[in-house]
Amino acid sequence: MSNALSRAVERYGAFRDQWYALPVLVAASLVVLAAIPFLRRLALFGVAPLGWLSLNMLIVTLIWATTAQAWNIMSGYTGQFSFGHAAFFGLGAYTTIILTGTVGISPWIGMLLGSVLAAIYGLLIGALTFRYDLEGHYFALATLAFAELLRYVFTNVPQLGGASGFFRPLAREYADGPGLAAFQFTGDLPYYYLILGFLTVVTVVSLAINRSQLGYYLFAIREREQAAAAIGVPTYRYKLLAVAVSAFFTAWPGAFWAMYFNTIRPTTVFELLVNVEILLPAIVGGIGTVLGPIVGAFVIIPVGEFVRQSFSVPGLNNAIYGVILIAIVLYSPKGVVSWPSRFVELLRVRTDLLDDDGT
Amino acid sequence: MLSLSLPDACCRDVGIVALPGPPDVPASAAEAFGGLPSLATAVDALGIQAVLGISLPSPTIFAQYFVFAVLLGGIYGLVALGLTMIFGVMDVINFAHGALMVVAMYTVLVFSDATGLSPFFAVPFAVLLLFVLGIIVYRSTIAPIIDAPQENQLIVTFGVLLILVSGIEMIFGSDPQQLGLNLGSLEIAGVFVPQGQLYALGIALVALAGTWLFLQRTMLGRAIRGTADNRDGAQYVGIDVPRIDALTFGIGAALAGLAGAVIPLFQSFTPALGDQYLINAFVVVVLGGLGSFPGAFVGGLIIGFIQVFGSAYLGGSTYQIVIFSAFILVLLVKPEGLLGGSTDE
Amino acid sequence: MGKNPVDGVSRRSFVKYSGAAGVTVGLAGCSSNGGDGGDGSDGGDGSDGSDGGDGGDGGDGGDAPEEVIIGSNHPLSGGLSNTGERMDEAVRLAAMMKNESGGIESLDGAELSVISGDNEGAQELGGEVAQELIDDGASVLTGCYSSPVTSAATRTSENAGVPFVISVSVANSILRETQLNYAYRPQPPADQMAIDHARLLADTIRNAGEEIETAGLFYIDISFGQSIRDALREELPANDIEIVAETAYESGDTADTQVTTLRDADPDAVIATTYRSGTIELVNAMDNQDYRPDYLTGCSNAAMNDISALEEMGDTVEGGFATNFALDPTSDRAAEVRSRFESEFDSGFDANVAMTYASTEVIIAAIEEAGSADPEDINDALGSITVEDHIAAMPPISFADNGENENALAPLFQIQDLEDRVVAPEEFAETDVQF
Repeated sequence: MSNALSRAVERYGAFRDQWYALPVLVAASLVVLAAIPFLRRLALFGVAPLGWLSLNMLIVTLIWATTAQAWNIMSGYTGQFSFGHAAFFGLGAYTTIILTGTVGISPWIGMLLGSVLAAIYGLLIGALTFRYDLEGHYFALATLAFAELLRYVFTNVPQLGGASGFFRPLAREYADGPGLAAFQFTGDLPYYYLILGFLTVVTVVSLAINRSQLGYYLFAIREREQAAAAIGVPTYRYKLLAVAVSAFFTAWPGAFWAMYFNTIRPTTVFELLVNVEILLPAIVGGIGTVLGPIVGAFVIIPVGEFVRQSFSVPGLNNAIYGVILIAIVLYSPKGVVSWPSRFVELLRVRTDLLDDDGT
Repeated sequence: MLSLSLPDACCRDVGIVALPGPPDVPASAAEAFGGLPSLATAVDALGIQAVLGISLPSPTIFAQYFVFAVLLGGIYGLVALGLTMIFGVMDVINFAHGALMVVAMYTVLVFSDATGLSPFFAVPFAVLLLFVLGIIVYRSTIAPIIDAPQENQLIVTFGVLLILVSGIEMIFGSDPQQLGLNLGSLEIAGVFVPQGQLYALGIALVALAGTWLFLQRTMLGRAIRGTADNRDGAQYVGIDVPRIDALTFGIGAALAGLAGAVIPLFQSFTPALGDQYLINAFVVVVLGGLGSFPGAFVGGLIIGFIQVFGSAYLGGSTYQIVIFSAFILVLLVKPEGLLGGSTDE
Repeated sequence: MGKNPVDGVSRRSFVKYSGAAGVTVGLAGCSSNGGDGGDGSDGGDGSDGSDGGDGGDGGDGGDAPEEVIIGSNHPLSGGLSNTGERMDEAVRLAAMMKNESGGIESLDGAELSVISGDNEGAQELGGEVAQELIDDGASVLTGCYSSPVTSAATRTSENAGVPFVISVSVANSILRETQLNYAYRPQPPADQMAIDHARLLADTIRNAGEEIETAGLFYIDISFGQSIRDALREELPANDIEIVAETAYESGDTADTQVTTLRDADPDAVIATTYRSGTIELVNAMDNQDYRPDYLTGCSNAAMNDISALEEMGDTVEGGFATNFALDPTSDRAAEVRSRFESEFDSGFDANVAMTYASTEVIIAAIEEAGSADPEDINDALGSITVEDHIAAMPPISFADNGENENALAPLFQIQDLEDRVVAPEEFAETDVQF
């Protein structure tokens, strides 16, 4: 028994050490996600164990997984902790819906322009904050201020929708009715696969950066920025690049939000809490890892949903988020994704001990 | 064309502003863009606010705004005190600061309901309770990770915020609560000074003076200042830094408690009120210089003046745009704050 | 099943598949074709509504169901929960009272049952909760108070082909930006509220020989306040009232600065559009600065129809005016509903509760008219129904093509002896205006 276990552990450990381990794990996770809408209908003895997972909630989970993945490219990889990613999320949402609603262009083009706009805003924030060497708290507060600034700009300029924001126009007003071209569908399932597609793209980008020379530089900046600069890494330029890429992709789920939830307001896409929701999955799953944001999203959002459905205590799910956050940071700062490795290490130590006893 | 037949916010502006004729005929500009607001209407819409708002006030009205700005600034300064202290000494941004204020607000509510005494008696009780709560929060969440990267403390205190605010919401619901004191106001030459805010300002000044004296004149205070200046150095000269940290966090929480406890004296409150004050307190603390006590009051006054005069003359909540722009500007140009420096000024 | 509908707070558990079966458990019973005949006995329902739509319904009507499920989608937790819970209770009370009087006649006394979902006032949950309620067998939905939530929920029910009768949600755009075929709104939305306020206020004051020429606005700076503000900017000048000041209020602040600005502009009327706490802050600040405009009014302001808030604000609001949807003060049945609500749930009955109750009455009338639990049939009935017997102070409710109530009305109240009394229009007036 312990022999079989130790062999399994050995094999997993060997697998983890291979260069292809991460891509394989990422691909496997995405395949599982693609199958979830069907798995949740699966019934055992008349009870569907995943039946309580609604498609709507899964979509919300993937939205925050995607934002966290994008946030991670900047904050996880380079260590520049952004507390204002709602700015990019909201810019994606607003640009898409304003351009589609008023000029009638395709939401896809709107999303692309929104992403570019978000990237430019990111570059502006980055250029200012990095130029003036804001770090740590100061950087986090500055990013928060840039996000709050946008919230009040959108609330106070009637031409930007004011506090009432905008409604998504009907598909037939700018396209031949619902469909992929219109970024609007009649059921929830296509939305699920669309946001899964977004997550896949951002994850692949994140993986590519992780494996490239660029990623190497970014990690170097995170660990010891001055040392990196000293050996000739152009830290300023690489940090800007990370912000721009991160902002660009954060706008995608923003655009998705606008098209899926049909209406946006400053309070729904720019609010203080949105900044937290964006980064929460990355923290819980494992900051600076490729799988972390996805795993984190699938830990916290279903847990919140479970609490919401099981207990009728208002506010309890937020309190539980708080407990999870504290527990993760205190006891497992590397996040949930580090658990299998920790488990393996633990078993290795124990099996080694057993082996020693045997001989 | 969708919004043409559908009167919504922007089209109404177009209808009234851009077209001098009957308001129900769509303006040509709007027609051309299918409801897309043109630049011209944007300018005009701002114009309407200018017409509405900007007229030179009488000296009495101006003095009235001035009084409100000072009162509000004092409250903001008080709110920022605890935040700036914890930051200055421990280098921790306490996101739970607003939540601690909320706990104090509800403590005052419960205390005065239960005892039937004036809420003023509840203030010291709330301060004491928050001091203890602060120590508990510090020991259980901050102490284990005090040397970890800064964002870890930020996340942990945010977790504390979620727990405290949800807890309050679970117990008291999210309705606005009020003590209904209606303390009235003093009238001086046509200028009114609401007494609730006046008492709050008085308490704020006493708190400032008290904390300042404590830091300057007592051994503990000096130890705290020493730790703020140089944590490693403090360790070397034999200061028990973890104990100083616990004490600092406790005092910071007690100051949050004081701020929270005086707010019910003059306004209604909800569990969400803490977040609102928190954001402004960040701005105040940065403007005044993270860690600076007098800076907290200077920053508070700046925000108070921007808010009062901004909401009087700019329309809507445009003043918030000014506040955050000022915030960003100071962060970039003078991140150590307008007064710069630390607690030992 | 008793007369107690499913407890609103105990939510669907994970075994929702068994729950869904509830509706379709058909019992023998006579064919629902008889339902059409039943209308006559029902007085008010369907006086002009029994047109072609009903004929069609009979065709697919099979066995009469034992119960018809109404889904209530309201914020039961979070910042809006106090009002949301009472709105949810209003839905349940309407169903309870219908069951007590014998259930749905056209369905052989089938019972109404209410299932509730908590949307937390969050846009993400609006659609999800709607879907859960539909999955649990709801034939018709109501909700959601917060406009973005309602917007999300109505889209979900549109896709599912289940009718949605909005309980309270003021934003114009919910029904106007998109042609929805399954969404209906009995209440007057933001623009109608402003139209009624400007017109009734101006007429009432001027008919009494008094003057009103200028107004200052005090509005909460969120979507709700801004939409009413925008509508008032149009409607007040149309009634020869000039806006001389606009002050925005953010919840959690005092209203000191705003009152100084208003004092400076010195309008004839101060029109407040905000929630209860904002109104109380306004009145406190007015007291503190010893400021009394000729008329203090509220447009879509719940505090002005809330006795406890009025008592708290005292003399300053006495004689003030307010426009809001409300309970019909001339109806005995409305008074009975109110006292029943207060005794049943031990919570306050305000305008939002009254409107939600009236919306549920519309739903019940439509089920009665359709004689079916099939969402499609109920939707057809809603499209053509005229509901005369309801407790809201407005003419018979019937819906235009876009789902808005063609006869939506928000009457004018005056605060007399710290109670809100309807003074205009005449058909709903309970007392004369006083100056």
